[in-house]
Amino acid sequence: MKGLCRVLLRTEQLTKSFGGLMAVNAIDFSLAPGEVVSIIGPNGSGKTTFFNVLSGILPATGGKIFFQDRDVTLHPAHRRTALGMARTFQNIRLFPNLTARDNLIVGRFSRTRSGLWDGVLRSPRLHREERENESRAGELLHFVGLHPQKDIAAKNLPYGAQRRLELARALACEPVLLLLDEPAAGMNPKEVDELLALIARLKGQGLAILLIEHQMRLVMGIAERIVVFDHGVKIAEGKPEAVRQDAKVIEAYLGAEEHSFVRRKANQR
Amino acid sequence: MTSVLTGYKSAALFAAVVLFLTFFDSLRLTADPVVPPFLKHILLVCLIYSTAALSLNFVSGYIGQVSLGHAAFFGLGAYVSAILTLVWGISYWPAFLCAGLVAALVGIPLGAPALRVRGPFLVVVTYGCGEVFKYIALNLDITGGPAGLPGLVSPALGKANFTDLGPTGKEAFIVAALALALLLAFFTHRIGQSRVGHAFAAIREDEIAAAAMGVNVAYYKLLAFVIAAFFAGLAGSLFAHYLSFVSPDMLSSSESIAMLTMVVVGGPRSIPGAFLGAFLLTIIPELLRAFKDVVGLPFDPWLVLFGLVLIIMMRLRPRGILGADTVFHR
Repeated sequence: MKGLCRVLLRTEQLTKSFGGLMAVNAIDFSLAPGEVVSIIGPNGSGKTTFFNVLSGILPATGGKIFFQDRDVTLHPAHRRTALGMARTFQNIRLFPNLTARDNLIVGRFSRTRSGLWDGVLRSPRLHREERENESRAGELLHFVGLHPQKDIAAKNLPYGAQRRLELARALACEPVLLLLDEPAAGMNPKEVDELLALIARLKGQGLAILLIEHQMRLVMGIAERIVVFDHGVKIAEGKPEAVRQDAKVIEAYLGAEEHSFVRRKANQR
Repeated sequence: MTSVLTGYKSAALFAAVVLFLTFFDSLRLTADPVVPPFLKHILLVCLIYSTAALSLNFVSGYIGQVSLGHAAFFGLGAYVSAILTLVWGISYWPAFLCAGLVAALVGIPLGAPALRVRGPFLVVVTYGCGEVFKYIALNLDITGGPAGLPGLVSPALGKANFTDLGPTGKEAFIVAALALALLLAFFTHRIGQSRVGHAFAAIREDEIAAAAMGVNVAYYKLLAFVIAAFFAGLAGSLFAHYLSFVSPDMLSSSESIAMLTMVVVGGPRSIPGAFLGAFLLTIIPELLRAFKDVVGLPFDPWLVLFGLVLIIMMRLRPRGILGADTVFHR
């Protein structure tokens, strides 16, 4: 069923304003199942706000969001997760005092059903779901290479491991669309390569990925399409090579004035 | 230390000690009774407050929200069963159940807006709710105004009233309070390990991440609040019918503060911690009151020590005496 929709995610004139500031301004965007798209743009261009509105952390001010042909604009975040949208955060938001393994078990929340009485009576359903959680968490810990650290509290893991755990936790939601907000932030080149390999494997499994990233190595290595944001507006969209050459994109990143200034500076040397 | 105190074995040991103290004189091993009625009274108060602290643990331990209005549910339960038995002549046990249900139902409209705020704001909101309840009880005719409602019926076992069972009339109450506290302890233990417990842990750790992981944050916060209200209502009802009296004092903010202190001192999310907190904070004030009478102090030293205890605990051991190191307990 899920594989049959031609468009997995679509936004129509999606807008988010904070007071007078248009953080996300009338964005039309769409993503096909299994597609890997990267959003780039200078700091403050509205990328993370776009993610927060997509995932339901922030309500939209205007416009609509369709996920698997369903209007999810008014759905709270937890329902979008249940429908198959999972995300990571720019500033890691793990459950700091839970172990790596328990973080993943919470990630399985939308795929399990046990209620209060299942818990009190330890029903067969609870037992079955516990076994499933256990094996799925184990697989994901192996996938991101954190199995040896499974009993360590998330806050005590090294930074790179926390990033990978957050990715695993999003995968525990069994999404069809993965939203990654700067997954490579603060990583060294070796870690970026490992992450690239992980994302490539996920892409191979048919997962659609929407990626905010500054590390061009990662973006150019994996994205099939790039969308460029500036001041909340989509200023360019296309294949990585094309976007790279786009005059508007260069201007957004370096600024028209500064751009010439940099060139002048370079000439003086 | 914690591992020795958790588990069913220690619960059984605890129950055995309580029952031994309660029924020692009934065994007639000594010529005269050796366990004074006063001690049995303290034991019962400790058990009632253990239930209150365990129930508050759902809000202030599991979802990590400070509530300063828990006595409102405790007192509400007391008033509900008092009015049902006095005015409508319903027998005690159905009224007892209604006390819990009404407290839980009232918890829904109170909890839904209250749990939208957090931290100091929630403290103010819950404190305010508690005060409103108190002033309602002080001003309505059906609640007896400032005098409260005296002459509440005793719970009965078959045809025999609790007050007629045992040499001091307190024994049956102790057994009932012990059963209620242990039932709630079991309930808490099971929930803590289950999927619902995982939702509570996620909310406590990071609400936004919890929502992103599919946890309906508003629902689970409200669930914790309603469970807490239900059991507080039951405990309040049993306590009122033991005292055969309910007054607006049961709703006072100092009661709420005491319950929160029990959770904080014993250790949030620790089941033995809730018992320990309730016992310590019931027994120590009684000892100090006796001390005051003996020495002839013009004030109750507990009131001074109370603040000091809170400051010292927050400073030296914020997770409480038996506070859990791990977050999902198994």
